[in-house]
Amino acid sequence: MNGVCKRFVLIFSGVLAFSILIGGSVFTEETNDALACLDELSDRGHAIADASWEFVKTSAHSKNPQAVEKTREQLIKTVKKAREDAKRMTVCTEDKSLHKAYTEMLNSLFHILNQDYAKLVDMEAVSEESYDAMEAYILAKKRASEKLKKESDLFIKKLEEYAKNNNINLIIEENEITKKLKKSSQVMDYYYEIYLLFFKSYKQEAYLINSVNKENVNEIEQNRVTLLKYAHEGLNKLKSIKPFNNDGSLKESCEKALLFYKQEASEKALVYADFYLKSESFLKVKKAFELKKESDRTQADVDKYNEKVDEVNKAREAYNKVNDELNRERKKMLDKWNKTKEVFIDKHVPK
Amino acid sequence: MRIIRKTFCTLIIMIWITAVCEAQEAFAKKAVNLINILKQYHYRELIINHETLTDIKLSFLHSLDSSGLYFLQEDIDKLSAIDLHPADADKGKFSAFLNPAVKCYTERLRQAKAVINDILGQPLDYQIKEKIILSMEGGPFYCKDREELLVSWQSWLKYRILLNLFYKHKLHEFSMSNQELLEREEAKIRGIVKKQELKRIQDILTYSGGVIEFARARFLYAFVQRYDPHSEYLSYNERIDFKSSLSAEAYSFGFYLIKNKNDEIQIGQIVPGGPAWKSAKLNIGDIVIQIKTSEQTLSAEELLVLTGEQANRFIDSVKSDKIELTVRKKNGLNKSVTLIKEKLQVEENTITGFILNGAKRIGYIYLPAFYSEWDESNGFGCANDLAKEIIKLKRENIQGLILDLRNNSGGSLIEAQSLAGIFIDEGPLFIQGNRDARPVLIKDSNRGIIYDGPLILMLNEYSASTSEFVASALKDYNRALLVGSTTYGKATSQITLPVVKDVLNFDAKNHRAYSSLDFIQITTNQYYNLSGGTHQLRGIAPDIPLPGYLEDIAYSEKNLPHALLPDKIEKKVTYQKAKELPIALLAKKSAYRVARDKDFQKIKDLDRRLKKYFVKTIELPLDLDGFIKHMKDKYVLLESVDQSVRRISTIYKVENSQYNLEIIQMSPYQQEMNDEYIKYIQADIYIQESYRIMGDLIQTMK
Repeated sequence: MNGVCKRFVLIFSGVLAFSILIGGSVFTEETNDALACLDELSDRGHAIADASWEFVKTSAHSKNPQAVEKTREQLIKTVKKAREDAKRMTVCTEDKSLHKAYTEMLNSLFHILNQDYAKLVDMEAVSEESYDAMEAYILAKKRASEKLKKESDLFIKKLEEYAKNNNINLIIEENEITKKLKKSSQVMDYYYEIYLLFFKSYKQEAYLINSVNKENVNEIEQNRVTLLKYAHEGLNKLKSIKPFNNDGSLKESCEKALLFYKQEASEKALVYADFYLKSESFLKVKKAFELKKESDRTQADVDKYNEKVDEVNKAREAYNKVNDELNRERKKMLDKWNKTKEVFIDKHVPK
Repeated sequence: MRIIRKTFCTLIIMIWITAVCEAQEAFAKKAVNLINILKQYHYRELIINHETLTDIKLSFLHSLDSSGLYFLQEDIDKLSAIDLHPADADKGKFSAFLNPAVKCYTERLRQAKAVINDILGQPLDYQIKEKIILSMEGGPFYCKDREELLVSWQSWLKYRILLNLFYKHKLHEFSMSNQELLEREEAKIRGIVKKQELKRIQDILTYSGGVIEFARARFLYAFVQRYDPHSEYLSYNERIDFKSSLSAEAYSFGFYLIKNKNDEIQIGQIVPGGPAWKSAKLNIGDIVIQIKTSEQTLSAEELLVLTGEQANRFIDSVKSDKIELTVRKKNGLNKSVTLIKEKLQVEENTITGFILNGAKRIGYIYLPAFYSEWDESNGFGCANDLAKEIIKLKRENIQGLILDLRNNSGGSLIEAQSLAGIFIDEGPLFIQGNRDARPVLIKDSNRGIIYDGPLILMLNEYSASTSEFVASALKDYNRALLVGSTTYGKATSQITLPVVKDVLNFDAKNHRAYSSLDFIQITTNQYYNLSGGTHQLRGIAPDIPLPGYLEDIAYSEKNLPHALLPDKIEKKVTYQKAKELPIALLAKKSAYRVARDKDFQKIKDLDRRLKKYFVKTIELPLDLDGFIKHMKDKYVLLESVDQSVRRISTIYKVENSQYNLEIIQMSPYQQEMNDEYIKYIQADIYIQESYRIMGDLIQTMK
C-alpha cells in the first residue's frame, strides 16, 4: 500500500440510533495539511463519541433523571463547540466540499439534540401530513434523522475522496466506544420499532378516553374504530419482528398491550356509545311521558317508561363495569410494559 | 328680561351644536375603526378610490330608496356628484356627502307622506289598462320630476293593493269574482297599505338618533357590502341577539323572525330540535306570509307593518299551543305548517333518521341546517347528532345512506369538518385561502370513520356554504355520489368582530359598553378543493343531475353584486382517495328513468313556462282582471310544480328506526309530526330517484 495509512474510527451515536459521526486515531508520524485536517476531524469525532457514550450509558442504566440531563447537556456542549470551531478552522479549508459536509452534519446533529427540527425539515409539510402534534413530532424527528444520515454518508464519502486525493490510505475501524455505541444503537433501533407499534395504539386510546370524557359519540366511535385498526396493524407487524438476541420479552409485552387495545376497541368500548344512545332514548321517552297528563297515560306508557329506566340503568352498570375493568387491566398492562422496557434496555445496552 | 332670554337661546343652540358635533365625531371614529378592520382582515384587498366611493354612494342612495319612490333623478345626480376624497374616507369623514343626502332624503320622505295620504284618500281606478315595471337589475329607476313621481306612486300603491287582494283571493280559493272581492275588500286593504307605507316612512323619520343615524348605518352597510355580499355591518339597532331572545325554559314554536331588506318578515333562525325544526318544512330565509292562531290571523300585509321584534313578540304572546304558519319558500312555492309549542330545552338529538324499506334497506336523513353555534351547553353540534343517528341506522342493517342537504344554507366551518369526517377516515378536507398568509389545509378533526358504506348527498341550488364544503370534500375522496342540482356557490367564511379600535386586544367580558357596540361580519377566507379549484360563484355540479325548476334564475352567489370571483390555488396535497364511483353508468341509468318519468318531464315543462314570471325585469298589468289573471296563472303553475314533485312511492316504505319508534309511540304529538314527516319523504320524487340511484350504486359495488 502506497502513501500514508490512516485509521479512522466509525462512531455510531447509539442514543440517536441513526446518526453517524467520524472520529479517528492517527497512526502516523507524518504531518502535512491533509493529515492535520484528518487529525482535527478525528479529535472532534472522539470528543463527540465520548460525550455520546456517556449520555447513552446514563440514559440506559441510570434512574436519576438529573444525571441523564447533565450528560445530555454535556453532549450538546461538545457538539456546539465543534460546530463553532468548524467555522474558524484553519485546516480542511482547501477542500470546500469536505468542510461543507462536515459543518452541515454538525449543524443537523446540534439541532436534533436540541429537538429543534424546524431548522432541518419543512414543519408546515410535516404538520399537514400529520394528524396531531405528537405525530408531527415523530415525523419531524424521523425526517431530521434521515437528513442527518444522508449528511453523515456524504461526509464519509467526502472524507474518503479527500484522503485518496491526498494519497492517504484511509481505514475506518471501530474502537471500544464506537462498538458500544453501535451495539446500543441496534438495541435502541429494535426498541424504537416496537415502541412505535405500541405508542400508536397507546396514543389512540388516549383520544378514545378523552372523547368518552366529553361524551361525544361521534368522536368515541371514530376513535374506537381507529384504535381497532391500529391494534390490528400493530399485531400484524409484530409477527415479522424476531426476538432480540433470543430475548422476546419486549415483543411479548407489546403483543399483550396490543391485544388489550384490540379487545377494548372491538368489545368493551362498545358500551360507551351504547350507553349514550340508550340514555338519549330514555330522556326522550321520559320527556314525552312527563308531558302526558297523568290521566292520559296508559299502562303501556307506564310499562315502556319502566322498561326504559331499566334499560338505561343496565347500560350504566355495564358502562361502569367496563370502565373499572379497563382501568385495572390498563394499569397492569402499562406497568408490565414499562418494566419490560426498562429491563430490556438495561440488559442489552452495554455498561 | 331680554338679555336673559338671549343668553338662554344661545345656550340651547350651543348645546345642540355640541351634541351634533359629538355624534359626528363618534360616527367618524366608528367609520375609521370599521374601515381599518376591513383593510386589515377582509379577504379582498380593495383600494378605496374615487371609483369605489362613487359605487358606495350610489348603493347607499339605492338602499335608502330601493323602489325609486322618494328621490328624483336630479337628487341622485346632485348627491352622487358630491366629491368624497379617499383621504377623507380614511378619516371617516363622510359628512360632506351624508348631511346633504339626509337633508334631501328627509324632505323627500315628508313629501312622500303627503303623496300617499293624497292618493290613498279615495278608491283607485282598477279598470285602467296600465302596467308597472318591476326590476331587480341595475338599481331603481328614478323619476325625472314630481309629476312622473306621482304616477310612479299611483302605480306602486295600486300594485300593493292588488297584490293584497290576490292573497285574499287565494285565501278564499277564488270563490267570488274579482269585482266582488274588490268591492268587499278594497277599502280595508287600501287602509292597510296606507298604514304600512306611512309606517315605513315614519320609522325612518323617528329612527333612534334621527334620520342621520339611520343613514349612517345604511352608509356603513353599503361600504362593507362593497367588499363582498356576505360581509355585513350590524349596527347596535339592527343587531339580533337571537340566543338571549329564546329562553331554554320557555315554551316556544322554536323559530325566530327577522325583517329582511325588503321589509318582509322571514325566518331568521330555527332552534335545533324545536317544533319548527322537527316539522322539516321550514328553512332559514323562508318568507312568512301568514300566521294563523285560534285567536287571530296575520296576513302578509299585516306582517309587513311589524318589525322583526314585534313579530317575535306576537308569536310569544300567542296563548294557544298551536299555530299555522304559511311561508313562501325560496323557490316561490307556499308551504303551510302547523306547529305545537314545546318547552325548548337541550335536546339530546335533533336529527331523525328513517329507513326506506324496499328492495334495499336505505337510510335517509334530512339535515335542514347546521347548528354548532346555537347550543353551547351541548357543545357538539349536529355532527355528533348525525353520527348517533347513523349508528342507529347501521344497527338497522342499512345497505346505503342518503343524506339530504337540500335547502341547507349552512353553518360553521367546524361543523363541515366534523361532518365530512364521519365519512372519511383521515386526511385533508379542503384548503383555506388567506389574504396575506400561505394556504392552510383544513383536516378531518377525528381519525376514524362512522359510516363507510354507499352514500348519496342530495343537493339543490339552495344548498350553500357548509353543505357545499361537505359535498366538496366527499367528492374529492370519491366518497359520495352527489345528486340534484348545482349548489349555491359560496366558498367563503366570515367572522363577526366588534367595531372597535383594537380588535385584537378586545376583551368582551370587560368592555364597559359591550351591549351597545356595533359589529361587523367580515369575509376572511376563501376555500378550495384538494385540487386547488373552488366552488365560489360556480357552485358544485351534481354527479347526477335531476330536473329542477327555476334553477337558472334562482338566487345564487353569481347573482350578487361584488361577489368574490373564483380563482385557483397552488398547493400540493396528499390524500387517499377511494375507488372512483361509476358515475357515468349511474347517470345514464338515472337519465333513462327520468326521461320516462312523467312527473320529472312535467317539471321540465313547467320550468319552461314558469320562467317568464321570474325574469329580472317584469311588466305587470295593473287592471284588476289582468293582474289577478297574471298572478293566478303564475300560482297555478307553481302549484302544479308542487304537485308534480310529490307522488306517493310504492318502491319503498318509510320506517322509523327502533330507537325512534319507542319515543314516537309515547307521544301523540310526536306521532302526528312523524306521520307528516313520513308522508313527506314517501312522496318526494327526488328522494325516490335517489333511492333508485342508490340501488344501482349498490349493484355496481357487488
